[in-house]
Amino acid sequence: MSDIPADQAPAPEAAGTGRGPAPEAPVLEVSDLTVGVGRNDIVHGVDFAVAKGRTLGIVGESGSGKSLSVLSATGLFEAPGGYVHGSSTLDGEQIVGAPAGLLRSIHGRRIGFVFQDPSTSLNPLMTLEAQLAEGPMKHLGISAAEARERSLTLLTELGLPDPELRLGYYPHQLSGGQKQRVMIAVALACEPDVLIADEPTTALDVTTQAGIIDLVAGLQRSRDMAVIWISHDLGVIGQIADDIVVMRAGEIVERGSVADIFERPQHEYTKTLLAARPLLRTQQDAGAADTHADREETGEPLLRIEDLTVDFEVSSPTGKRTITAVKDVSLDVYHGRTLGIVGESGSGKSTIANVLTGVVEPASGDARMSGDPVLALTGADLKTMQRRIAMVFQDPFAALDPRMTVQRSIAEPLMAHNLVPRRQRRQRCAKLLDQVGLDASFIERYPHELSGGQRQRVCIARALAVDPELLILDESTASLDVSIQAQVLDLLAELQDEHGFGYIFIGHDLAVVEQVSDTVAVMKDGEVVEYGTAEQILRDPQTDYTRQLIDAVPPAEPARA
Amino acid sequence: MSAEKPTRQNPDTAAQGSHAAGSASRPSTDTSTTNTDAVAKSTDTSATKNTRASTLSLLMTNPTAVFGLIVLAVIVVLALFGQWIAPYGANDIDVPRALQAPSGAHWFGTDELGRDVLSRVVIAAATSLKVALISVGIALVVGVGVGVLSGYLGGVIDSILMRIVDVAFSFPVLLLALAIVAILGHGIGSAMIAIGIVYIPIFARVARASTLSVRQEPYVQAARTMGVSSGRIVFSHVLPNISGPVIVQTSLSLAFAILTEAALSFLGLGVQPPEPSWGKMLFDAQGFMADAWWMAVFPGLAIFVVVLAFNLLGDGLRDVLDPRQRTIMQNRRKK
Repeated sequence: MSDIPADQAPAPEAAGTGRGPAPEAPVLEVSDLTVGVGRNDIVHGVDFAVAKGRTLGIVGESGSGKSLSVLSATGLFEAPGGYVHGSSTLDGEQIVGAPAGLLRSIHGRRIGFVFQDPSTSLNPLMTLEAQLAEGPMKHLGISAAEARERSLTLLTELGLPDPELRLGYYPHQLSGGQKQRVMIAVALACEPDVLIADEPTTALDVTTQAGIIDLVAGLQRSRDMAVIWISHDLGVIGQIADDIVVMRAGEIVERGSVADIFERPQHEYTKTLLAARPLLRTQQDAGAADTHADREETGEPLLRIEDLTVDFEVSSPTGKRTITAVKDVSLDVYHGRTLGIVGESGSGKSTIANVLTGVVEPASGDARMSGDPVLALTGADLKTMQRRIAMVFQDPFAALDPRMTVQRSIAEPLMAHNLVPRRQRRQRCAKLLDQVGLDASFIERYPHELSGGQRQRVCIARALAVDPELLILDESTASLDVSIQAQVLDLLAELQDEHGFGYIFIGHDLAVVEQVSDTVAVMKDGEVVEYGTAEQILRDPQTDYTRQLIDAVPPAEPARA
Repeated sequence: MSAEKPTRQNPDTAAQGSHAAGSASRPSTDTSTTNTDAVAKSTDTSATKNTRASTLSLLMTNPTAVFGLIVLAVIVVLALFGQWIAPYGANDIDVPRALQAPSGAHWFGTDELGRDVLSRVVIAAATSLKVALISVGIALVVGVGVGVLSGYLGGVIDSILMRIVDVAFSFPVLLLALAIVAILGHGIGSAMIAIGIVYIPIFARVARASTLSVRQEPYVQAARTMGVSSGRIVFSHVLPNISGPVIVQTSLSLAFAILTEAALSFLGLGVQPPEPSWGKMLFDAQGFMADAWWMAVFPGLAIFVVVLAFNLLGDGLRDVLDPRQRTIMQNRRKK
C-alpha cells in the first residue's frame, strides 16, 4: 500500500502499511479521486490501492460514498451531470476519462464485478451457460465448446452441485446463495486481476454469507487476485480483508491493516462501527453480557401459540400442491420479554407474523392473547386484536407510503380505530415521535427526506400509536446499517423497559436476535428445531443447524477466512 | 480540501463518540449523513409552512408546465368568448371568396363556402374542448374506478371486470363509438358519452396494472395489519400512488378524444353541421388538400397546440404531485 501524498495526509491516523509487508506494486491504484453530480462533490478526493493477492475492505454506512468511489475508479460511474476527477490506474493504465472502448476491454476481462442483489444481477431469460460463456467468448475469443468447458470447471470450483445439469438452468431455479455463486463465477470467467465485490453478502442469509466469504478467500489464494470488498459491516470485513479503509461522508477517515483497525482504532467513527457490530453475548466482555439474566419468566404468557400449522396451496400447471410453511409450532411470549425467532429465508418465521396479524389463515392450531383468541377473527374482534398486536416491517422505506407525510403515516392507525379526535392528532404524533427520539420538526416530512434509521423510528412510532401489548418486529433492523441498527435496538429495549411490551423479534442473524431476546426459537423448514432461553441456545446448542448459525456470526477478533 | 475537513467532521464525530460511550442523551437524529438527511434539513422550514400553496407555486417554477397552463388559459378564453372575438361569424357564407389563401382580411384563408377559417377555428374551440374534457372525464372516472376495484379486490371480480374490458377492447374504437351513437341517437351529447365509453378500457387497464403493484407494497400490507379499512386504503394509498400513469394516460387520451370526435362528426354522428369543430373542419378539408392547404393546416395546428399544452401540464402536475420530485425541484430553486 502506497503512502498517502503529502497534500492528502489529513490526520495522523491515516497512516498504515497493511498486515505484514506488501511486496508487490498495486494493481489498482487510486489517488485524489473526486466524484460528484451537478455542483456537489459526493466523494472528496480519496486514495487507496490494492495489490495482487490482497484484499482491501472498504467499510462505511450507506451514503458514505464507498460504492461510488470504487465504481468511479473502475469506470462504471455514469450519471447525468456526473463527473470524476483524479487518477485511477490499472497496471499503470489510466481509467478515469478513458474512452468507452478501453473500458469495455477492461470490464469483465481485467476487473470482475459482483453486486449486492444476485436475484436482479442475472438475466432471468438466459441459461447459466449463456451468461457464463458470454464474457469469455467475447473477451478471450474462444469457442462455445471451450467456454462450456471453462464454465463447468468454474462451477465445480465454486461448489455448485451437479454443475453439468446446472449449466442448463435458469436463474429462478437457484437459491439466493447459489445465484451469488454464479455471479461470482460470471465475474471470474475471464480470470480478472481485480475482483470488485460490492456488499456481495448483504442480501444473503448469514450461513450462506459465511460460505461466500470462504469461497472468495479460497479463490483469491488460488488465483492471486486483488479483491476490493465493500461492506457496511466491519465484522464481515474482518473475515476477508487484509487492509481496511473506513469511509464516512465521502472521505477516508481511517486506514490501516485489519489488526490496526480492530485493535487500535484511532477515529471515533471506527470505534462506533466496532461497537455496533452484532456479537453473541459469549463473545462480549463478561461484564456487559447477561443483562437479561435476572428476568425470570413468571405468570401467564401474554401470547401463547399452540401447534400452529400453516399450509399454502400453490397452483401450478401440473395441479395444486400444498406446501407446509409452518408446522406444529408452539411458542410463548411474556409481558416485557422478547421472543426471538431466528432462521433463514423460507423457514416460515415471517409466516407466523402474518398469521398473528390476520393476513394469513392457519390450517390448524391456536393462538391466544391473555386467553383471548387471536386467529380467525372478523369484524370488531379483529379490529381490537389489530390494536393489541402491532407490527414493524423489514424495509422502512417500503413500509411508509412515499406520498404521505410522517404525520399522516402515524395518524393512519389512529384514524382507523377512531382513537384520537382530529384536532389532537398532531399533538399525539409529536408525542409519539418524541418517544422514538425524533423531534416535532419531522412531522411534515416525507419518507424520502429521512434516513433509513429515521424511517424505521417513524415505523416504530406508528406501531406504538395504538398502544399495543405485543410488537412483532419482522427483520426490523435487517436493512439498516450496523451502526444505525445498534441505535434502533437500543431504542426498542428502552421502549420495552418503559411500557412492558412483549416483543417477537424475527431475524436471520443469530447475533442480533440473541442480543435482544430472552427466549429464542430456531426455525428451519417450517419447524422449530430448538427453543429455549437465549443463554441455553448459545452455550449448549442441541442441533447442528444452531451450531452453524453460531459459527456464521463474524468473530469478534478478525480472522482471515 | 484538508482545511475544511475538520469542520465537516467534528460535530458528527462528537455525536458518535458520545453515543459509543453509552451516554444517555437521546439521539435526536440518526448519525447517518446520507444525502437525504441534508435534503431534509434544507426543506424543513418550507415544508412545515403550507404544502398546498407550495404545490401551485412549484408548478409555476416548471417552465414547460407554465407554458402549457398559459396556452390552455388562452384557449379557454377563446372557447368562452369565441363568438365575440372571431372576426366573422362561423357560418358567414361568402361563395365568391371561396378557397382564398391566407391574407390580411382572412388570416387563415377561407374554405370552400368562403367561410373564414380563423373564425371557425376560434369558435370551434368551445366544442372541441368540451367534447375532449367531458368524454375523457367519463372515461377517467369509470375506468379508474373499474381498474382499481379490479386490481385491489382481485379474484372473481377481477376476472369478470377484466373480461368485460377485454371485450370492449376488442372492438375497433370507431366501430364501438358508432354502435353506441346508433343506440343513443345523433348529437354532440351522445358523441361525448360514446367517446367516454370507448376510452374506459384503457383507463381501466392502466389503473389495474398500477393498483396491482401498489397493492403489493409493504405500506399497504402495513395499513392492513393496522386495521385500516379497504376503502380508506384505496383512497389514501392506492389512488395517490397510481396518479402518475393515470395523469399521463389522461393527457394522451384528450388528444385522441378530439380526433375521435372529428371522425364521428365526419360520419355525421357527432357535431351537426354547420356548427364547426376542429375535427370536422379537418375532415372537410380532405377534398381540397391540393388546392387549399390552409383548410387542413390551421384546425390541425389548433389540435396540436391543445394536445401539447395538455401533455406539458400533465407532466408538470405529475412531478409536482410526487413528493420526491417536489424535493428535487425545491432544492433546485434554492440554488
